[in-house]
Amino acid sequence: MSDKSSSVKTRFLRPRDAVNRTPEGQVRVVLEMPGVSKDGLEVKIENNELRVLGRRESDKAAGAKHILRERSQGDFLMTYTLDETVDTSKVNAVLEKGILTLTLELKEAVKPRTIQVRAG
Amino acid sequence: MDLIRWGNGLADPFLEFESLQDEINRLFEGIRTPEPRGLFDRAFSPAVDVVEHGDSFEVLCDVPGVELKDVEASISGNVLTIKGERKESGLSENGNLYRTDRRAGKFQRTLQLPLPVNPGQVEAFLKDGVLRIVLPKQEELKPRQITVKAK
Repeated sequence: MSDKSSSVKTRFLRPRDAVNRTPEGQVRVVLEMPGVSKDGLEVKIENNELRVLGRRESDKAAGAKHILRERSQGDFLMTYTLDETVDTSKVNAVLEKGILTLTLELKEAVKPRTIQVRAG
Repeated sequence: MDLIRWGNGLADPFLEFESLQDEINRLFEGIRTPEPRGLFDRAFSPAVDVVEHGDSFEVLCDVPGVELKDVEASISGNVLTIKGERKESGLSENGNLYRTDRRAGKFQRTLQLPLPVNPGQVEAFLKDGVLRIVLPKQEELKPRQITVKAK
């Protein structure tokens, strides 16, 4: 995943995220999606694009009045562009405590390989 | 060629610059969103909503990734304090970080509610990374309907 782009539409929020590569050669993407439950989550890979959509239930109650409103309202959307090194058939997604963790496997051919150097 | 008399009701050229400066300053004021900051804030300040219902207040706070044992709320009078720590990064150690805009560490928010609440009946829930605290208003302060009778 050498290139990634995010598309933010006005109606959506971009979740805070972190991307790293594990020593095992996987790519791990961590997204903060407070208020999103499993039912509201949609992870899709299409045309080398990884799309994460997290819908939240609006916690609006009738007759309620906001005294303070800092939390951003709306649904989360994040799109990453994948390159050909990612094995799109092996994507693992875990949603826990409002954190979505995506683990992407790289294709065998591009995994880093340690070469033993022997004394000649 | 038209000649315009100097100072004939037309703006001073320096005044033009000043108004341009004001205009640009105004432009930036709109973009800058105020970050909530408190005296005892730590590494970051999670966003908080306070909603007033008929007989209670509801406080909602976004704390994704924070464990139940690492968050605490306390109330004294009508001042609510939410404290906690986000320990996880979700990332594997010894890995190669590409990028992040996530924050970890301690946080604290202190809020003053407009009316006293019943400290014994405060309830807090943590679900999907959102902390929800329900604080019932004190009984004697709830608005009471007074029936007017004909005499």
